Amino acid sequence: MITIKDLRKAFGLSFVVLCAVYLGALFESFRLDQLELDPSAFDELAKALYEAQLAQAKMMNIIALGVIGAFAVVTLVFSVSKYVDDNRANMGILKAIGYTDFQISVKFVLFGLNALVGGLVGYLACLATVPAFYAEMNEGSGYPAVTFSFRLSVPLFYVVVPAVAFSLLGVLFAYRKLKRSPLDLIRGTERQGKTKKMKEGKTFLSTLRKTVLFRHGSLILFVGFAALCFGGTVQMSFSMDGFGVSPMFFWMMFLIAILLGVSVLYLAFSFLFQANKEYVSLLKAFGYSDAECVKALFGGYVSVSVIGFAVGTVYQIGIIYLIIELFKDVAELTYTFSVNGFFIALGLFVFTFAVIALYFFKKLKLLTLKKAW
Amino acid sequence: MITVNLVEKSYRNGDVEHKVLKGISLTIETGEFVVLLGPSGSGKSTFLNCISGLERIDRGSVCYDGTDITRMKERELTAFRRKKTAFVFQAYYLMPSLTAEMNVRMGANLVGKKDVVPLLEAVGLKGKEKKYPSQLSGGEQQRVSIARAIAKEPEVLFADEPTGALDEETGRNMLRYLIALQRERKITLVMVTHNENIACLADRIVRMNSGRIISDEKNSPKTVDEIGW
Ligand SMILES: Nc1ncnc2c1ncn2[C@@H]1O[C@H](COP(=O)(O)OP(=O)(O)OP(=O)(O)O)[C@@H](O)[C@H]1O
Ligand SMILES: [Mg+2]
Repeated sequence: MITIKDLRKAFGLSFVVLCAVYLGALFESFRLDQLELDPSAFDELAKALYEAQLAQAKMMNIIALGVIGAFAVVTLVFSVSKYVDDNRANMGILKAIGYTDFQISVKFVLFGLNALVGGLVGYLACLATVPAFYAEMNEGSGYPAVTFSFRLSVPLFYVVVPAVAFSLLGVLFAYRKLKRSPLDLIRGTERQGKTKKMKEGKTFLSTLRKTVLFRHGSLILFVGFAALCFGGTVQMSFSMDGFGVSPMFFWMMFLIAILLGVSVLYLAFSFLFQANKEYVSLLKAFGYSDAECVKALFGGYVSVSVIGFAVGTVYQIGIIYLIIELFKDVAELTYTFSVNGFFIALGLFVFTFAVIALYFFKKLKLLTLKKAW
Repeated sequence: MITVNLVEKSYRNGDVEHKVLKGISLTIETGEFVVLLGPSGSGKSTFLNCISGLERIDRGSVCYDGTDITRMKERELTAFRRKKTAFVFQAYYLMPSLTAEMNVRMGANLVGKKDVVPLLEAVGLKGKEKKYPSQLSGGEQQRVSIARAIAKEPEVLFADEPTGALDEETGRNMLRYLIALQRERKITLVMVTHNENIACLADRIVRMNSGRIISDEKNSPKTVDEIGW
């Protein structure tokens, strides 16, 4: 029932896992290799740097596993729920003719494949960049060079465990989503309550905008996260640049943040478009203009983006102070807010948002009632 | 006045081309009530979609008071639909996550009308304003869809089997309401039906079969109470 094509659609999931695994495995390998050294023989300065680097590796792991990992879980939940929504009627029919929830949801084990592919590619990318990364970290450390040694525990923890966990999570979440009567699934009965808070006397379009926004709660998180990526990580690369860290760090962070942000935003909007095709085609049939349709569809996410970007900005300032704290024995770092960084990150975000919205605007023009329903 | 001239439309299904409309010509006067009659699959819905500017045609022209809508750009066509037409769809097409009231507001909003409760009352849905489409019966959904179309105060109303899901009594009430409105506001009404009795209500009866018009006759309209069901 779930085909490779469906898994390809969940490509975003693989990509997020890839980013998390890449960063996590790289810093974890370095940390483990570093632990092999005996710091008691180092002089004061080298020892402080050694400890700061250990802390830094730990922190990158927290970022990679915590933030991106949490996000990978959201992506999974999102992909599964999208899949269930798209195939609701089919699944309802299966249920109606006697398949159990478990028989239907066990197929979602396949979503673990996405995590496996993402994890494998991420780990390979990590192996490929190990030499450059180690050279960079070793440079001017003042203590013996850390050398890479292969440990099975790293791919086991970063590739196999996530794949298994994602398989289980996929099944579990699908199982939960299927816990409705077959008729509700077939008819696509909406869960009520979400729209109840709507005030009286609101205009139709603003109500629609809110309905679209709250109909898919996970999308709010998604778009917010994309904005956070730009506001936080992209800006952070500039703030770090102010410290005079190596360009490799700058570009690594910058590119991952951009790629993550762009793909998340694209994913979110393509889902939004798919999920609201019927609405838009109907609005068009009634003579609502394309601009009104776009506003109804994407308009609610503007404020979500603003909030995400603001949170990202604050979050990166926090991280920067954490880094200053970590390195305070080694280097006298002073942080100044990078105005350039802020505007470049903001500009990139607005640009991405606009380009993606425009792309779907173009697709919207081709929608007809018959194709959409 | 709507002038339909030699309209052709086909659908491609892979390599097979299926001609659904095979050169249809028809003139509909402003304020006229025309019924389209024909067997299932004869192309009635497709024809309605084509002359209302919902779907592009392959050949021919569709003019409203001399303006050919088939030559309009998408943007102009949208503006045209907004100003002139409304549709009662065969498959209702209600927005599932909006209440009945909000669905009707979708139409009302276009003419700046705020209060749609009277409209819902008029189609017999008093007290169901806050229900979602999935909580309504098929016939109730159909009536929401009728209210939504009327809320838009169109000059031309296209109705694709607007009473298909209704019982006799509700169906008669709906038709009484629709026709009274049509006469009062001089709306041009193009209605598709399977029901010969309903056809007798119209000023004109157009019969279709496999993509062609096979007859087109004036009719002296009966009232809803005179017809059988
Ligand atoms: N999108 C499409 N692609 C291919 N064929 C189509 C498409 N839409 C309609 N058809 C075909 O066109 C023909 C006419 O369809 P249409 O919906 O206009 O019929 P109808 O007269 O409204 O029938 P009914 O009374 O059952 O509603 C049918 O044979 C149908 O199979
Ligand atoms: Mg039809």
